[in-house]
Formats: sequence, C-alpha cells, structure tokens
Amino acid sequence: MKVNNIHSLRLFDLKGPLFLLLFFLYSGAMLGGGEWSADKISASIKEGASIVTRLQIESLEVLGKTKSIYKMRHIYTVLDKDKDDGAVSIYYGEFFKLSNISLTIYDASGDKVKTYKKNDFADHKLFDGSTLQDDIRYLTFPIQRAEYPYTVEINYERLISCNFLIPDFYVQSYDEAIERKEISIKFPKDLQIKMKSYNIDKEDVITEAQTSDNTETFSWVFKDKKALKFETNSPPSSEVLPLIKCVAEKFVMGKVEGSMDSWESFSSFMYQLNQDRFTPTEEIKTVVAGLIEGAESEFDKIDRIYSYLKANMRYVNVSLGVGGWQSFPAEYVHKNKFGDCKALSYYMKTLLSVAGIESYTAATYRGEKREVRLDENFTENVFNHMILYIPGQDLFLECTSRNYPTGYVGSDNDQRKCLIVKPNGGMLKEVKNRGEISDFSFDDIEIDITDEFPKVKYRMEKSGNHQEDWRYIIDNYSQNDKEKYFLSFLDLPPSKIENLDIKYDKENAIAIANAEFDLLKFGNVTGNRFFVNVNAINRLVIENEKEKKERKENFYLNFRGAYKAKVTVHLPSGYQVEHGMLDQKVESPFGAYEVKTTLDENVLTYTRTFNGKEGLFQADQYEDYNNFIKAFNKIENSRLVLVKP
Amino acid sequence: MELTTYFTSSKKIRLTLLVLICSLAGFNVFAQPAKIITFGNVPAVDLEMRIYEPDTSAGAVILEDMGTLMIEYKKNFVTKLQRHTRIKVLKESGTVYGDLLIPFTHGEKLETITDLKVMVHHPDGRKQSISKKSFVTEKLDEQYSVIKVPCPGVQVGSIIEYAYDLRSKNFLMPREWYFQSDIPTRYSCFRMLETDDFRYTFILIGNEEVKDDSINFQAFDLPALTQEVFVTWPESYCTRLTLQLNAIRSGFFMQPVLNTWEDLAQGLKVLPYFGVAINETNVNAKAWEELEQKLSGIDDERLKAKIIYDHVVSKVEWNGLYTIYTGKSKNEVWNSGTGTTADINALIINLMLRAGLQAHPVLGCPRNLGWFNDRMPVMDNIKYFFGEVMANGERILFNGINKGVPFGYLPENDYNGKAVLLNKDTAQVIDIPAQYSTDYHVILLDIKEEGLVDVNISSIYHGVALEFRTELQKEEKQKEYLMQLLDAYQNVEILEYTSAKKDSIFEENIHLTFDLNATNEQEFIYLQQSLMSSFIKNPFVARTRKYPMDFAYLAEENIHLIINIPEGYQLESLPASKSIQSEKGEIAFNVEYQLNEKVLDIEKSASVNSAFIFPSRYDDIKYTFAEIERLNNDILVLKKVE
Repeated sequence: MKVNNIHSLRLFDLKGPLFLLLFFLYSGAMLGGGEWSADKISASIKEGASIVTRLQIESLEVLGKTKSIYKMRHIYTVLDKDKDDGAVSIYYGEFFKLSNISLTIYDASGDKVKTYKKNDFADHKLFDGSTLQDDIRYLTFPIQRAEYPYTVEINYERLISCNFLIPDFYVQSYDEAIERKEISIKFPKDLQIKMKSYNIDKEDVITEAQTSDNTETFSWVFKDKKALKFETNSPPSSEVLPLIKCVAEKFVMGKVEGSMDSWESFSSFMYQLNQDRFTPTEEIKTVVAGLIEGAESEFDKIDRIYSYLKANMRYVNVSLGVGGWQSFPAEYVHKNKFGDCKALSYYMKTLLSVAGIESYTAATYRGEKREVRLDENFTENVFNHMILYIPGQDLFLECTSRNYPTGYVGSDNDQRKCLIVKPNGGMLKEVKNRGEISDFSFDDIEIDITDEFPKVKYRMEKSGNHQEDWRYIIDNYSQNDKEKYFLSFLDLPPSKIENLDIKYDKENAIAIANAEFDLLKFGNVTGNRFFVNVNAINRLVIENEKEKKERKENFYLNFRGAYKAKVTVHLPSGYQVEHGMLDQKVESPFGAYEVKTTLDENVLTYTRTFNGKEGLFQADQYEDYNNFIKAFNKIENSRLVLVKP
Repeated sequence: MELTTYFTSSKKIRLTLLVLICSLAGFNVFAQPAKIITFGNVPAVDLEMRIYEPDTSAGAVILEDMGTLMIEYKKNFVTKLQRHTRIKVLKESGTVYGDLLIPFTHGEKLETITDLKVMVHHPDGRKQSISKKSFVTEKLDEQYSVIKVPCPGVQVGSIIEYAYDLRSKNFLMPREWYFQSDIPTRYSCFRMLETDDFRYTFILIGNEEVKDDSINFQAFDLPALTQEVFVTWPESYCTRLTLQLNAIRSGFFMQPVLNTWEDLAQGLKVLPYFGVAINETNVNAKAWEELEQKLSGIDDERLKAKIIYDHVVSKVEWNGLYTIYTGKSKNEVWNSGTGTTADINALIINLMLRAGLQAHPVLGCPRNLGWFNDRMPVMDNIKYFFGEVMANGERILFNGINKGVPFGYLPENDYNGKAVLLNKDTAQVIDIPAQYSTDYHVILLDIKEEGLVDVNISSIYHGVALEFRTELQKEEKQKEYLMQLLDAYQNVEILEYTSAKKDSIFEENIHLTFDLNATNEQEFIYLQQSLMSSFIKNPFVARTRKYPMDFAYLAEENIHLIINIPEGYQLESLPASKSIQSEKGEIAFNVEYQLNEKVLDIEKSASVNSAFIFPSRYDDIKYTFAEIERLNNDILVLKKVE
C-alpha cells in the first residue's frame, strides 16, 4: 500500500506533464484499441462468421518457367472457439521452398502478445493413410488461446520452382468473413498465363489489369464479404466457394516441356513424361504369353491379364519424382509387385501391349464427381488419379483395385470426363462401367418369433456402387471384423450369430451377405398387445433437418440407386392388427417410395422401395424435400400394434 | 528372485512385480532362450502354413517375435535391444504387413536403429533380401522418425522377416516389450542379458500367460488384442513387460534407484521444472495482482481455493499434453494463455501456496493411458500431476485442464483408482474412487387435440455429468444428443431449449412436441415412456466378455414422468411397479406407477453402483440391462371411453 502511494505521489509531484501524457496515451489505447482489435469488426461482417480476414495480401510473381515467388500476408481474427483449427500449417516440399516466415498473435484488444519465427514451428510429415512416401512436409504452429477473440498474422514466402505447380487462389472458405483481401498475379507477357474465376460475382470484386513493356499484372480486391455458411446438402464446395485459377500455358516439369493450351497438348505432355515407362522385359513377355494362351477373345485376354494384375500387384502410393507425375517403369512394378495408380496403369498397358491390345492411360479425378471442375474450354490440371482405357473394347480398367470385375471402375471414377493420354490426339472422354449396372441394395429379412428366442435369416444383396465397400471388407477384414462390420448395420444386435457368409461376384458388381442369428428380444409385449417396428432389424434412415431453418442456398442431392427391403415376420397365432398397416406410394421431384404391409395367416410382411433423385434443387424447395424425407423416415420407423383379442 | 503378484482376479488380471537379482560377478552370462531362430532360415512347415489353428480368421500371424536386451558402454551406457521378427501372411488382409514401419525417437538422439535386415520368404521357397537402398527414414516431427520398407512381392503365404538393433540412451526405462499385438502371436520371447552393474525391476501386466524363469519371458499362442464396449484403454489389457532401473552398482554395493515413492518425492523436489517451479515464492505477478482483489476479505479456505482455481482455468487453456514437468515459466503460461497439465496445475498450486493454503501435487495416470501402478514409481506410468488442497480440514482434488469441471471435482479421466500425493519429502498413496454422475428429470406430458404430444422437461445434472454436459454445450450438440435419446419418437420438434451451468449444477429446460401414436380414430393412444432415459438400450450384446466392464464413473438417473390423461380417455391397465438389480447390486432399476384420477405418475430410477465389474459377472449384468431395456421401453395404452 505504501509503495503504491509513493509512486502515485511521484507522478503527481514530479512528472505532471508526463503523467498527463501517459494518461492520454493510456486513454487513447483504452478507447481505440490496437489496429487489429476485434471491436473494430463491424457487426454485419461478424454475423455468422467464425473467422474474419482483416487483411490478406496474396501475390504471385511468375519470373519464369522454373521460378515463381508467392507471398502471403494474412491477418485474421478467430471469433469462435469451437470452430478454431487451433494451428497454422504451411506446406513445403521439393518444388516449394519457404522463407521469411513469421507468426504474430494479438489479443482481443489488438495488442501484440508475441511474434514467432520459423524455429518455433514444428516440422511434420502428414500420413494420410495410404501414401507411403511423398515429399510434402508441413511447418505447423499450434495456437491455443483461452480467451477469444484473438488475431493471428501470418507471413511467409514460397519459392515455386516449377510453374506447373503455381497455386490456385481460394478467396473464401465457409464461415470466413472478409474485410479486405487483395490478390495479384504478375507475369512476363511471353509466358502466357491464363486465369479463370469461379463463383465470383463481378459486382463483388474490384479488378484491375496493368500492362507494362514486359509484364502483365492482374489484381482483385474483395471487401466486406459476409461469411458463407455450409448447410446440409450444400452443393460441392467447387460450386459455391469463390476461386481464382491460375494456369501457365507453357511449363517445364522435370526435363519435359509441356503445354496447357489445349487438352490435347496437356495429354501429349503426360505421354512424353512417361513414354519410356511401358517397355516390356522378356520376363513380362513370358508371363503374358502364358496368361493369354487359349484365350477365346480379346475381352478374354483382357480379363485374364487384369486378373493377374489384381492377384499379384499391390497399391502403394509413392509420390516422389517430378512432383509425383512420372510413373515407375513397368520393370520396377513387375519386380517389386507394387505401384501407385500411374505405375499400375502403365504396367497394365505394358502387359496388354504384349498381348497386342492397344490401350491408353487416362487421367481422371477420383472422388465425388461434382467436385470435378473440368471445363472443356479451359485446360488445367484437375486430375488426381489414373486409370486405363482400351479403345478396342471401349473399356476402362481401375488398375489399383484387387477385386473389381473387369470393366468396373467404381462410383468414384465413373460418370465424369477423363483425359486420354496419347502422344497426339489426346481427348476428353466420359468414364463409364462396362455394360448396364444397376445400383441397389436389397434386404431380405425373415424373422421367426414363435420360439423362445427370435431367429433371423438375413440376405443382403448389393449391386453397383452399393457393393463397393463390401468388396474391400471381404478381402481385407478378418472374419471377426467382418462380423463387426455386419453388426454395425443392425438396429437390433444379435445375441448369437449362427452363420455369416459374405461374398462378392468376381465377374459382376454384386456382393451378397447371408446371415443367421438369434435375437435377445423382438418387439414389445404389453398385456395382450404386441408392438413391433415394421423394420426393426435394419432401418433405412435418411438424414433430414431436425429443426426448421430458412434455407439460403440451393441444395444438392446425390442419391444413387434403389433401396429395397422385404421383412417377413412369422408371428405366434392369434394376433390381429389394431393399428399401423401401410399401403402408400409417394412420388416427388426428389424421389419416390412405395411401402406396404400385409398380414396373412400369422405372416406379417413389410416391403419397401425407395429411390432418390440426383441433382441440384432450388432453395425454396428445401422444405418440401425435408417433409418428403421426414414422411419416409416416419414410415420406416413406424410401429405396428398387434393384439390378441 | 522375488516375485509379487497382486490385484488378482478370477480372470487373471495380473500386475506382477518381479525383481531380478543378479548374483554373478564380472561377466555377462548369455542365458539361452527357449527357442533359437536364425535369420534367413525359415522352416518349411512355416512356409507351407495356410491357417493358424488357434485363430483361423487371422489375416496374418506373428510367428516369432524375439527381443534380447543388453547394456552397452560406449562413452556412455546405453541399452541395446536386438529384435528379430517373422510375420506370416495368411490372407489378403495380411499383405498390409508387407509395408514395414519401424518407429523410433530421434529427438535428442535418444534412439538409433542399426543393422536392419529385411527378407521376404516367398511361398515358392525363394528368398528375397531387401536392399538397404529401399529403406527410407522419414522424420515425422521434432521427436519421432520412422523407417519405411515396402516389401516387394508380398502375397498370401509369404513370410516377412526382419531384424535390427535399437540402441537407447534411456537406460532408466528401456522400451516396454509387448507380447501381444493387433494380430495373433505364435511365440514371443523377451530376455535380458544379465549384468553386474545394473538391476532392473520387471513388471508384467496383462491377461495372458507368460512363462518366466527370470531370464526368459516366453508367451505362446497369444490372441490378437480386441476391442469391447466399456473398456477405456484396450492396451491396458495388452500383455507386456515394463522395465525400470532398480539399482546401480556403486563399489561393492548396489545403490537403489527410484525404489520407493519417497525416493521419487525427494528427487522431484529439487528439479527446477517440478518441485522448484511449484514451490517457488515469486509467483506470477500479473496473475497474483488480479487475484489479490478477488481474495481480499475472504477467510474461508474452500472459497479461496475455488477463486484461484476458477481464475486460472478461465485464463489458461490446456494444450492437450500430459506431462509432470513444467515447460514454460509461469509468466509465459499466463501470457500465452496455454500450457500443459504441469504448467497449469503448477500455477494453481503455486498461487494457492501464495494465498496461504496447503496445496500439493498428486502424481497419476489418466484412465485413457492405462491403469496407475501405485506399488512403486514406474516413470513411464506417471503421466501427469493434478492438485490437492486442504481447505477447512477437507481434502479437495482439482485439475485445471477442463473448464467444464467445477472446483471440487476431477475430470472423468482422472478417476483411476489411485494416485500419489507428494508432500515435501513424503509420498502417500491416496484413493481416487469413481464419482457419481447424477441426473434428475421432471417431465410433464400432455396430449393435444391436434395429434401432438406436448412435453415440458426440467433436468438437473450433477457431479461427473457436468463435464459431458459442458462439452455438449460448448459444441452446441445438446439438441443433437437430445434427438438421439428421443429416436423412438416420431417427428420430434424442439420448441424451446435453454441450458445453464451454475457452479456445480447444470440445468436444462426443454419444451418439445412429437407426433401422437394412435389408431386412426384415436380409439387407442400408445405412449412410450422412455423419455430422457440413457438406459433404453442394452449396451452388452456380445455372447462372452474377456475384459472387465469399466464404466469410469457411477451413475444415477432419476425420472419423474407426469402424464395428464386427456378427457375421454382412461389408462387401459396400470403396469405393475417393479424393482430389479443384478445379483451383487452393481446395476439397479426401480419403477413405480401411481394413478391419481387423470394423472399418471411414474417414478423411475436406474443406477450403476459399481464402476469396475469383472468379466465373470458379465452374463448377470447383460441380463439386468436387458430387463431394464424392456421395462423402460414398455408402452402405455390409453383407451377412449365410451
């Protein structure tokens, strides 16, 4: 107490003017806060945002085919603790060198807490579950704050030594609001950089183009953008989030010059990069000769060779070398019995060439098909995978699979365009499965509750894209794990599994599970009533909004195929239906379903078929869609009331 | 040789303390292991093997896993583990073992791996040695690296064989030896070459039998580790051997090392990043300045302690790291607003001491990282410390890492049976028994003419439940969780939801509706009475149980459901009140029905009275839960009156 009084006296006695100066400075700080004070963010910008970009200056200067400098200055305020990533991660690798890294944290008032440099970052490798080796690493800095909001300023430069790999500019993420974001791209005129923007309303952005003697500069400024919210059934982010793509039409990758001025030239580049990767050795020739001996047709040859590939080669993702674009040679794959998608596709091409069958590798995007942003008029690298195309049969092969039937490529490959890789004349082509394949699931369940413990016979049939997961499980899970996987589908878990057999058809896209098991109980008996769910074993539940919300954006449905069920229950004698019989057929723009229950001499049967539609729908249709699904879920979850008079 | 076995159950969960005493002078004695295998020579019978009889569903099996540990001296003492392993691929799923991953700690050059040899034995008898050029060492982060070896040509029938030497500076605690893994193991053997100068304590943990003759530890036909419900940390039951240095030769005598908790207490007391950090007199000035005002005029010790705890917890966020050593100064912790378990609890204890309270660190291991061994200090088992304060003569435990946990409670993860309280030079084993999680729900149910059921719910949560409720609140998942509980009801619509945490109580008020389930003319109305109960589904469905059922905490659920029977209806029949419980009272349930004219009163209570139940009790527990599920899901029928 005494010490404080003396200090106060000193200020008054000796340092009046200083005191006043300090007072005003202090007051100013209290009133105004630092430059990045969270209070300076307007309420309208904050609304619905978890993060607010206060200022982002992102620039790319392309100096040549093998040198580009990317600079980032990003200042953002984290508002929402629950949506905080809690870390900053910056990637680097063989073609990306980082420098001038700094990270500063400011508190809610905008006062600096601390600045960190590169040495404070942790150097990480990220294991994605399938890549054994690649050269991408991350510098990561964990940020854990007890008090929110806080602000982060991150600065770094990235030297990119291959202009094929110049980055895209992601303008905005979900839950991110923007006060100001500046993007600029500068390049020599003779380098021919092309740009395209996605999901950007021209009215929302200030653009500028400057030309000097030797260079061109394009810049964009985004101001006061409110946060975009992700809603259930939002369309893929590629159709919503604003993005600026930047592509060098002429580039060098490794020692190979390439061009992105057309799909054909890009195809030609990929071919050149790998043109010495499919030379067969004598051993390969001998193997192929043995495989195709006695084959009755070209398809038979393909089938035998593909079976050999599936049985003998493993998928191992090793993305090294020329940014992961150049394949291992066929000889390497043959010797080591593994490879990634490129290597296995080129290896298969090699085998087919020995058999006299022409084939071409095809670059594709593997994943949700609507995420692919392939524009036939704008050549760019949108690919992350490679398959094989056989023109003579108009057939595609997925060479990383160990169990797909010949000509089946899977729902993460089909119904989209790929780029056929050829020395000349490479073109876009629609990927498809061989033949007509139905996508469906059919659950045929028979329950006998006449004994002490209910007994169930369950036949689960899956076709097309519905059976893809099962193929992997059948090959890779132990019997115990298969059992657990099967049990995970059941709403009424068994007390005892008598028998479980899960198989897939090697030649067709079908998988079937047959199971017999006992239950501890089935339904509820209260007095003389028996309450039973129409489908107690494996209900089809489709996600719907539990609360009424106003839908802002259009929505996307990606149902594929039919979901059928037949549930037969053998009841003890004497029961009649008191309530809950069904006989409905409903059609809507979003799909259709048909359900029916019958009771015939103690045999209760429930049948159901549900078909959903695929496509983009208007926001104002969302309530109707939700009601359609709610009505279906209600039926699937409904209960029959049986009574013994 | 001294062998102590304790914590024994009928299902053989053993924690065996084995002290190896070497009585030989001068030379290392090379005791022979029971089985000898030579690198590169695989017996034909193993190559021809197509199934592993004890587990025919296995995709792969470890044929042999042999480890020999010795002490080396090159400038400094290091431990050297010579490892030799063979894995047989039996099914397609087992080919993943062809991608070898050998992790080690490169940080501070703690471990190095040398003399790695890898060979693939193909089913046709060919042997393929993998060139060292194929070995890739990858740095994962500042501490850990991994050697990756993709083995070529691995297929069903292949045997992957590898061997290496692992040297470690950490001769206080050599790496644990795991007898079990995620695939079955036919034979696992660990031995330590004896030495005059060092004595180790061996602690054998796990469910499976290991034959030991004090030199060789051998296990045969070990099953793969499996996962069961209500097992906090499956590796707790993995059969393994933990080693810790027990004594070092000093002249003619063996100098004990960390034999007792007192030894540890004395050692930690003088460490700058433990004892000194906790007890230093200069506290964090900024923190103290803020606290002084709040503490001014407060005499009650519990209140003082709570103020300090609440203040630190509100300012400093846990970064997820468990450690017993502080990493930052208190100023850094305060300014950065983040810290490890040690940083945060050291700060709280330090401020409590400054406030004149008696506060101490308590060493322990969180449940999700294994059981705590209270018999002797095993450094690998001591993962963190939390705090104890004596307030008004009462011991209060605290851990400042979880904002959702009020003062006076520990996070659920900390209730691990035992812990060790350090008080200056002394150490005392204290009990950390499981605590209760208690819910109370009052539910008013009205049936509306529009075919809707209108429900008002008032809930109070107490004890351990607060941590879960606060987590839900933090992530805005309360409504999602509520909808899961109400899955049996149709078209649930939440009209109003409020929640608030008040000190050690969490309150929730809900107004919702759901569709009436009735016949077409509403002649009969069916009401499910399982509202708000967590006991609506039997969690135990497996036929048998291998591991104990570990509930982590005790639970008590009380529901008072009041149903207003609408005009023109009556209850068709009043269900019978009932009480059930498992044989030894571990699980109990009680329901009482009372009809007062037009109001049906249902009082239900369900409880878990034992947090840890041995697997021998499984059938009874499973049956009890099945009965509770049946009673809880009973449907009430209202009939229209003529």
